[in-house]
Amino acid sequence: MRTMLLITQAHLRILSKDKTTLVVALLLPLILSLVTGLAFGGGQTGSYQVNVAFVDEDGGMVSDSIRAVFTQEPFLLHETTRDEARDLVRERRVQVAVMVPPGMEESLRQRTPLDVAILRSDFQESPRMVEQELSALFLEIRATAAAANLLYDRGVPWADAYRQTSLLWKPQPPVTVEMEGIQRQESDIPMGFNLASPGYVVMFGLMLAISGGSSSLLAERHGGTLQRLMAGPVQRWHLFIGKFLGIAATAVLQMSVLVILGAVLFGVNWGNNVPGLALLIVTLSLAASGAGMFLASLCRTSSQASAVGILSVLVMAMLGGTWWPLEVMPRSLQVAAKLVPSGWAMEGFTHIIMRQAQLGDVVVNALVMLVFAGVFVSLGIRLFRYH
Amino acid sequence: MHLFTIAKKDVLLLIRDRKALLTLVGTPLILTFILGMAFQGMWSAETPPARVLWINEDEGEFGDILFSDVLTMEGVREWVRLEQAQDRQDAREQVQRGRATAYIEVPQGFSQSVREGEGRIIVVGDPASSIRANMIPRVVQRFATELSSRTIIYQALGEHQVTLPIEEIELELEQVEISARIEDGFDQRSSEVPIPMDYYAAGMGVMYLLFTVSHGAGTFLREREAYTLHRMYQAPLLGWEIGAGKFTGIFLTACLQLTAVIVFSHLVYGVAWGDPLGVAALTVTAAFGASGIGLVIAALSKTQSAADALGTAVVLPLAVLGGSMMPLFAMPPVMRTLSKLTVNGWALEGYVRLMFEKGSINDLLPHLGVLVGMGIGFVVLASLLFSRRGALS
Repeated sequence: MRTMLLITQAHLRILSKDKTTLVVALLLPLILSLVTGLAFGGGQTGSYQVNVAFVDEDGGMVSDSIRAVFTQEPFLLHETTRDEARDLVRERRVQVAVMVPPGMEESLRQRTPLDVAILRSDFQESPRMVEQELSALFLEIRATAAAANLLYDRGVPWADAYRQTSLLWKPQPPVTVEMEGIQRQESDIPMGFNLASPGYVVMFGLMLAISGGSSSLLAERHGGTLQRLMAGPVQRWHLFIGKFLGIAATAVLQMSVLVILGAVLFGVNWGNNVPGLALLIVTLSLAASGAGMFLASLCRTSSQASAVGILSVLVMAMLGGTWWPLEVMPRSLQVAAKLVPSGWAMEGFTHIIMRQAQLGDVVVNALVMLVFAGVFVSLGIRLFRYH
Repeated sequence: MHLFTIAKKDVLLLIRDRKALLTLVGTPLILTFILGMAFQGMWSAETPPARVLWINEDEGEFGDILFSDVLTMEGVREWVRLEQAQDRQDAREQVQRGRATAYIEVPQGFSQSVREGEGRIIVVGDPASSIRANMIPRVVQRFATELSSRTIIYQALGEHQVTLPIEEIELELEQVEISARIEDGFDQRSSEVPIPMDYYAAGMGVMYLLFTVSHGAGTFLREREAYTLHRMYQAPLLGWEIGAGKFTGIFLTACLQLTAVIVFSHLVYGVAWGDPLGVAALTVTAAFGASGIGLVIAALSKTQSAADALGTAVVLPLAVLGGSMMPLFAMPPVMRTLSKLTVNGWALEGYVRLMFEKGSINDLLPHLGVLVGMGIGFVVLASLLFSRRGALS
């Protein structure tokens, strides 16, 4: 036992002197979290903005109600003319243009079909959002106009009837939907610190343990320290487990530092479940360290291990849903996420951060990661060549 | 020219290094495949439907309409799996734990209260689901607006003491038509939706272009560590020839790597890269710009392992900023502006123009110019750094 711990300690010492690893393992994920977090909203509203060119050739009540939609966040309205709007869209200076044709009221009264054109700029997701907002509004306009038409047929001036009816929608329509726990969607790619941070913590945890861990083990073999250790009164599996624990310990340290810095520097919400978080970090570290040891048993040189390691970490990170939410992925990939430790870790983190889960809710995730660790380590012990 | 001898040696070294080849050409192809597959299925029938729990305590007809007509209509039923819940508390808990995407509750007396002019439907969504949990309330909201419409028409008519049968109101609602129509505000585009596989072939190719130049920076320093650089100095070579030779070596390997990714992805995945002349010009200039970054990394590092670490630290943020991981066109404006500061951002944007907008080399002139300019800027920066550090020795 003592020898195992000494080897663990030695691994930690070696790593603490390696400045480049520290930079890659700690600074890089923080920078990445900062960049993606800031870019995708950082949790605050208003950072995602849709520029809308608005062409009003009608100038009546109906077009006013359409305009009102785009004077709210996340829209930024630019009043302009039809030709200018086309140019703005073509040059991609606005994401979308909304063109209200002349004679809206007349068409509604005459019951002739009306089209409001949404001119989209190339490669934009926001026109869909604009369309959704408009479709919702058009349902109201349709009903208001229908009431106005029926009253107009019975002698009430159309404009008066329309105005009076439109007031009935305010302050809120008769039938409402009460929503709980539903996030407002601001961009088609949901991100922000809360989503970016756990993803990077998992990815770089894997990177340090799998790619870094396996190559450090092989470097010791190459450098002859393994042979020297084996000359002493040490059993082989002590050596192996000692190294395994050392790698896992570095990963635990790294991820804890990232979690703390994320919370302090960027205000990442990690939930209120500290024991649950700790359990996930420790078991993920064990699983990742096990994977690193297994990888080391398959590779000949440390550079080989680091190259294959980075590739497998990227694949695991992607499959596990650290880059984007799994909910929009095809079924096959959602199943694949269950085959990698990163998928279980991400699910656990999401439970804790977004769903305020209790310790008991992440125990299954932790157990599965322990199984991964066990399988990897026993394969590794069997296959690893010490010379 | 000695310069080309040095460059040729570097290219040959890389080609014989199977591990490096696997990393620099194989990895982007594998990642492209995974990313392409992942996004290919996005929003298709492949995405499993969202599990939606519901409880209908309404005795009237409106609750029924919501669950048996609205939520089962075409365009909705494909992505929703409805399940009647037994217990309100249990249903809420399942949503809270992410086992169901949403829970819809129509309270007791709903139909009656709608007739009286005030109804309320409850939708609870999984807080961790930002996309699918959003689609459910949208459908329910639409239904609520349809109900509100009728109620409001009755109210409006009532204010003028008009009463009409519901059929007449429905007929009127049918006759009033107002709709939003999305039109293309641009001249041409080859495909309706950008093909994920194609986008990521370019994205990953460009990301690994950066890895290639960072690898090149590492070989530069290995020469110093292995004393081959010293030997070169003893040969009848000028200092600038060695520097330029190494740069040319990095540049040529970068060109080769990107070309290999382009050719393989075209042959194996059928990626349509677009106008060949444009692709060639963009590839060469992108490789040039990126090689400049490689040279700067070499100039800033003391050892090969330092160069590798610095390389990774530079490449990954650049890849995120440049749009290799998440598509540029779906990014918020801040991010798109930042991507204009990166070599890979310009390169990727250029490829996207060629692929999806049927652009030609003429549309790429700004890209080519910026890439060459950035390359020259980096080379100047690197040579300043080298000379301050006491040259290449």
